[in-house]
Amino acid sequence: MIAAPADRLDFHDIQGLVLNGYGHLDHSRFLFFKIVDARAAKRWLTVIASQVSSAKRRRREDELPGSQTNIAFTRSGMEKLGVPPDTIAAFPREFQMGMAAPERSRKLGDLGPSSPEVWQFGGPNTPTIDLLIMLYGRDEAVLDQSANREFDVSRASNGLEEVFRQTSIRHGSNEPFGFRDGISQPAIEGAGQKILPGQSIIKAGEFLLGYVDEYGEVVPVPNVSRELDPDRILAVDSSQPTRGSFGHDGSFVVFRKLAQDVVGFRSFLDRATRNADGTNNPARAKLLSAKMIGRWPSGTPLTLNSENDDPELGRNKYRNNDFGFAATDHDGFACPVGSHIRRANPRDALAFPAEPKRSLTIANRHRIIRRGRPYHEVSAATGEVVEQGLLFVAINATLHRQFEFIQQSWLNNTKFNGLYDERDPLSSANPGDGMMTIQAKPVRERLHGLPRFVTVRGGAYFFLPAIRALKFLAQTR
Amino acid sequence: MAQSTITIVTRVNPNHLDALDRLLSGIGHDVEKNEYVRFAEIASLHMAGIVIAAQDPRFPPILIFESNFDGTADEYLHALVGHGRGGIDAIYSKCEGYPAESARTDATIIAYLREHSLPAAAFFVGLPGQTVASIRNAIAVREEINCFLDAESAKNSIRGLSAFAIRDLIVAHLERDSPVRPEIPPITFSSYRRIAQRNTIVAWLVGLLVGVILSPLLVIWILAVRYLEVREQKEKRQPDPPVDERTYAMEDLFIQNHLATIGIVKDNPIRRFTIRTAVAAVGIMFQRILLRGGFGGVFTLHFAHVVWLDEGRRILLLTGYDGSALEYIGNFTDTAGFYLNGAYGNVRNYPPCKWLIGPGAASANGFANWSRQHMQYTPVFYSAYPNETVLNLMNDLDIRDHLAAAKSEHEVERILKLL
Repeated sequence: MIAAPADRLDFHDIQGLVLNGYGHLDHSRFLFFKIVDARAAKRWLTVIASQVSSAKRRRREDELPGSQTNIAFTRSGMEKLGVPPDTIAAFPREFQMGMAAPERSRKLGDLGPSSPEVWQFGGPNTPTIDLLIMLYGRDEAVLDQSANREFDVSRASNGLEEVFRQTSIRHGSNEPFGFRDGISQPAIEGAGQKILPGQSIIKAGEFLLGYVDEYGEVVPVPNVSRELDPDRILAVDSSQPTRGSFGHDGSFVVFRKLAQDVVGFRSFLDRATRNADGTNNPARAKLLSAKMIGRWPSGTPLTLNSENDDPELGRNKYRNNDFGFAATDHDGFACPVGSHIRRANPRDALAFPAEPKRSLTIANRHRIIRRGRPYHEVSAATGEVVEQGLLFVAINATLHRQFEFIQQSWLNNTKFNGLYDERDPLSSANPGDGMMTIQAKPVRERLHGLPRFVTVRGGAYFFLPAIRALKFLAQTR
Repeated sequence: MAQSTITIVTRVNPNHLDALDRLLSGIGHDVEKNEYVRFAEIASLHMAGIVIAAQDPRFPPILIFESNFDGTADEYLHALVGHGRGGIDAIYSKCEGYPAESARTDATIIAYLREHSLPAAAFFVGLPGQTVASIRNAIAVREEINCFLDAESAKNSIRGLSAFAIRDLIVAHLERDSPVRPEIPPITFSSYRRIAQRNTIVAWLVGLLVGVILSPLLVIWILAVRYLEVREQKEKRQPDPPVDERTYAMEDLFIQNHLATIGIVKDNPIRRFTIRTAVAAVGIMFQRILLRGGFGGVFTLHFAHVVWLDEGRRILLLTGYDGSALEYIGNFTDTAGFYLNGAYGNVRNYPPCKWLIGPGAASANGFANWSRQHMQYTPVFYSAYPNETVLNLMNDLDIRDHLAAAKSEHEVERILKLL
C-alpha cells in the first residue's frame, strides 16, 4: 500500500457504468456468455472494445447516447482469454472463488431457497459464465440493434455461447415492493458529479482500482509483465515499473437476481396490522412497511417525517437524503435500528464508535454504488406477472470490504448495532419466525413471524476492466 | 470474582499430528456434547480454544489450549480433568512428555498441564468481574422480561402505560411469577467503570511523573526505534508461513469466534525490549486501569491475552470475539490500531509503523493480510454463552442491575430502551 494523492480520473478509460447509472435509458438487457472458442472471442473483442461505453463526460442531456454497453468478466473468462496465472492470483480471493462458492454463500446468506445449487445461472448446476454484456437502451429496438449489429453477440463465429439472458424495463422509480429506489448513492471524489445535500463524497479508490481509498491508501492492482503487452496498451504500474497495470481504472461488479415476493410482503403486512375485529388497517400496514424499510413509499425518510408520507419530500433529491440518525433519531424511535436503510448504511449511528463523525467515516468505508434494475417476468399464457424483483448490480473496488461486508455484517447480522436476534426484515433469509424490534417510547414493540421476502435466483462476481485492459485482453496470446 | 486465564502449550509428536487434528476436529464439531471434554459441565469456564500451530516449518508443531474462567488456575485444572479426563488423555497422549499410561493419575496430569502452562504477558477481559453464573443470570433475566412484554403486548395490557408503570409490572413479574430472579452481584459491571475512572486519573499522574524522570532515556529509545523503522523498510521482506485454508472456514461460523495469531519478533534487542515493554504497558492498561470493557473503543472482544513463545522469539495472541473476522480485524484498523502498533510494530512483516503509532494496523489491506497470514487453526472453540455479543451482555447486565433500582423517569426510560 502506498499513500498517494488523489488522482485525476481517466474518464476515457473507465467503463461508463461506474460513473453513470444510465438513468435516461429505461430498457436494459443482461447477456451472460460462455466462451467456447477463445481465439474467436478475442477477435470479436478486438472489434467491439472501442465501442464499449466509457465514462467520458458529456455536458448536456441531449448529448447522451441512446444506448450504452458495458462488459465484465469472471475469473474463468479472463483465464480463457489468456490472462496469466500470476495476474489472476493477484485478484482478491472472493473474486477468484466466485459468488457461488460455499464460503461466499455462507457470508452472503445464500442458503436454502437462495443457495447456488438452485440458481437459474451462476451456480454449480448451471453452465459456466465467462462474461457479461450489459446493454442499456431507450427501447427494445435500440437494444436489438446494439446486441445484433454493433456487438454482434449472437453470431456463432464470435466464439460465445449465450447461457442466460435477463431483460428489464423500468417503469418509474419504484422497486417492486412499491418504494422509491436508488436514492442514497455515494458521490465519487474527482468524478465531477453534482453533490446533493446529505450525499457522502467517497474516495475514488473505493470504486476504482489504482486510486486512493477511504483509508488513504492505494491497494496494489493486478498487473502483467510488459512482455505480454508489446504494444504498450496498458499504463505502467507505478509500484512495479516493469509491469503493466491490468487492473487500473477497473472495478468489480456484483450481479444478483433477487426475486421479491410482493404478494407475500403485502399479505404479511395485512396480517400483522389487522384491527381487533379482524378487519384490515391499511394505514397501519403502510406505517409498518415504512418501519421495516426506513422510508415511506415516496422515499421520505422516517427520520425526517415519522408520522406521514410526504411525496413532495420523497421525490425532492435535495431533501430526501439529507439526514443522519445520530442527532435526532439515535435510539431509532423514528427509523428503527434494524430497518433496511439503517442496516444498509448506518451513516453516523454505529454502536461504536459512538461519536457521529467517526461513525460516518467508518460507515463510508463500506459503501457501494448501486446500478440495479427491476425485472418482471410475465406468463406467456396468461399475461400475468409470475415473478418480479430486482437485478441487483453493485460497483465496488473491494468485494469483501464493501458488498460482502454490508451483506454479512450489517444486513444479515443478527447482532447488528447491539440488536439481539434479528436480520434485515426485507432482504434477509428470515425463516418464517424472523423478528424485528421497533424501538418506541416507553418500551419497544417486537414484530414476530417474519418470513423470507427475497430469494436469490442467480448471480456472479465480475471484473469490469478499463477500456485499455479490454484492448489488452483482445490481443493476449 | 476476577476472571483468569491459562494457556497450555505443548509440542505435538509429529507422528501423531494428523490423528490429533482429526480428534480435535471431531471435538470441535460438537463442542457442547462431545464425549471427550465436557466443557459445558465446567461451571466456571467462560471460553476455551484449542489451536494447532503447525503451519510454519521453521518451528515444531505445537498445541495451544487456552481457557478463560472464574477463580484460580488450580480449581479450573481440577474441574477440567474431572470433566474431561478421557479427552485430556486422548489429546495429550499425542503430545511430547505426557505421563505414560501407567503413571497417569489426576495429580500427574494436572502437574503436566501446569508445567506446560505459560503466563499471560497481557490479559484483557471484556466484562471485568462478571462470573459465568452472573452473565447467564443477566441473559435469562432479559429474555424473561422480553417474553413477559411480548405476552402483555399481545393482550394489549401495557398500551398507554408510563415507563414507571411498565417497569413496576416487570419488577413485580420478576419477583412473583418468573422462573428467573435477578441475582445482582455486590460489585456490578457499572461500578467497574467508576473504578476505571479513578484508576485512569492515578495512572496519568504516575505516568507523567515517570515520563519526566525517564524522559532522556525515552527520547533515545524512541529515536532508536524510528531509526530501525526507516532502516527495516529497505530490507527484504522475510517469507511468511503458508496460510492454513481451514482458518477461512472457521473464522465466522458463529456469533462468537476465535482468533489466534503467532508473529515472529524482529531479531534486534531494541525491538525485543520494545515489544515486551509495549505488551506489558497494554496489559497494565487493560488489566488494572481501564476496567470498563471495550479494548480501545472495540466492543467485540470477550477475552484476549498475549503469551510469549520460544523465550520471547514469537508472540501468540489468543482472542474470543464477536462477528466476522473481517469486521473484527477492521475494528482495529478503524478504532484501536494504536494499541496494537506499539507491540506489533516490532513483529516481522507487520505493516510498517511510524514512531510505533501509525499506520500499522491502520493500514486496512496490509493489516488484514498480515492477520490472515499469521492466523492459526482453531478446531475447538467453546463459549458458555455463545449467542451473546459483548454489547448484548453489557446491556443485559445494565438491565438486570439497574431496572428495579432506577429512581428517575429518565433512568427508567434509558433502561427500557435497552430491551
